[in-house]
Amino acid sequence: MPKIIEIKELDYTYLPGSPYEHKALKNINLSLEQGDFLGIFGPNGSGKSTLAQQLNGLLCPNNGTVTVCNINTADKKLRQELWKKVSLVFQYPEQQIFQITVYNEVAYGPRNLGISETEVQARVYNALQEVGLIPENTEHLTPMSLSGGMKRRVAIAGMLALKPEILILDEPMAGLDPLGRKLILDIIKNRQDKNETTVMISHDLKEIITVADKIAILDRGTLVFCGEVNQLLENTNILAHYRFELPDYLQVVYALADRELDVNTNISSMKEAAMEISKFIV
Amino acid sequence: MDGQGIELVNVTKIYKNAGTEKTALKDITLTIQPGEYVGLMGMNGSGKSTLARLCNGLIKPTRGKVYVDGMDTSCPENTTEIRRLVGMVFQNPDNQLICPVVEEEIAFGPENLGLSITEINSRIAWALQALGLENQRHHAPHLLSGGQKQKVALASVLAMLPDYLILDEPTSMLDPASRWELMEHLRALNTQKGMTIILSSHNPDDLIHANRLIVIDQGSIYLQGTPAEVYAQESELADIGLEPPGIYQLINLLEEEHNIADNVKSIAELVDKICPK
Repeated sequence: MPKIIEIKELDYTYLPGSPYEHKALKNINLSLEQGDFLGIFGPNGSGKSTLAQQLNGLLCPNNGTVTVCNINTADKKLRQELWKKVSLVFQYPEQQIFQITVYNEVAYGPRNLGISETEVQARVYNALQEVGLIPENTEHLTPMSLSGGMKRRVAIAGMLALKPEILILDEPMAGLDPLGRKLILDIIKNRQDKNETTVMISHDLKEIITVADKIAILDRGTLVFCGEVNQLLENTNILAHYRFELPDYLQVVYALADRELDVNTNISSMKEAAMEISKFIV
Repeated sequence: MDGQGIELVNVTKIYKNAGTEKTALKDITLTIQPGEYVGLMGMNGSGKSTLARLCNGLIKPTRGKVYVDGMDTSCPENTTEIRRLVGMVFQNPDNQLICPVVEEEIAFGPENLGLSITEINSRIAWALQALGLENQRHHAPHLLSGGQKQKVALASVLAMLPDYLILDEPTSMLDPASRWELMEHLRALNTQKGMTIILSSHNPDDLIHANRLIVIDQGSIYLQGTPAEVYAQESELADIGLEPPGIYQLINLLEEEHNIADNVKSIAELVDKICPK
């Protein structure tokens, strides 16, 4: 399989040579295939957002290479090309909303691609539907009158309307209620179904472990794990470190296994966990 | 505590914008006692932030009254004193960070209270230590990660030692370890310093230390009770798009067929119940 993202020996330092010098990423090697949903997880300050910004050339490596959609992100001549293929949704993207109607907000990106207004409209409508909003009901609204969760989805629609090959979301669920979070996950699952590539940053392993194809774990700038979810759950070294960040039901199952109960730890949902745990309740 | 708490009497808040009206809170009557730890739950747009902002006079009620230690928040002459008593941490730290260096950010509030240099220094040291930010003391807030910024925002409010601390979604950007730490700090501030805490969060795990949970839906109080009482009502919460913490969901699911004791409320307690050490 050709790799859609290929990162080799990436180092990145903020403000090198100054008193504020900060090594944010150290020797990162990572690759991703078309259609994968990669969850990047790590504590605050581990380098997640820095890594995300490497993927669309907002930041460039001090050492090593980042190749995305066959484009070397350090090549400034190809930057415009790269931005059409890779869309990055920042933390709290609703703060970037500036147009007076939902339609104009979502249309802003596509209009800058120089495509016809008919095509723009088709893309806007599609994008709004993809984020679970009904175009006819929302297009004329002022974004500022929407709730936080709806604004967030409008901001994401603005990126989807660019039809990116890779969609990167930096903490897209922060500050959303459970329903809002589910709606964001639905957007990503929809992309998974269509074999489109998505990268999502989260500080909450519980949020991504049930949906991601692959998980990358960053710790103080180093990639400590990158692989499929079941590989993570089998990796006792890594798990020992991140166990308390797993969903509660998995924590219960693992704790029972620690007490030498013959419990099946290969569990993928809360229902399965409840059934398994039930066997041991007298 | 010698305060009288925060009292909302028949409070309605209506936002008017370009000819449209939106009722954010409907006729809420509520008393938050000094020393209480109150958790606020509700969906985006339910009125949680409005309620939080009414409590320090940032916004005024359209109808009804809000009193802080007996002072009416609608009277401009009370504003300064109310702001000193009631500290507020917002959801997005970028909205409240204004200084170029972390320690200056934390000093900003205490300086404006007219405190001595020695006192300001000791409060900075305490706030940095309380949130594990000592290494970031001389950093620029805007170059920190999202979660670190959130801690700086909280430290800057803590340094004012407010009697009432309102936190509107302070954990949305924090990783589980920092979130857990923050919850422990809030519990300590509440139990040791007697600080009244009003905490709103979408993460039900954050609210387990509260004495009382208030669930808001469409501007009205939907449910109230201890965390255990509220979280046992999973289907009522689901009706308004909310959910209890994962461990309560698991216990509620197990309860369909088994009888799990009432005092089982955490992972450790459940594990002990099933397989005693």
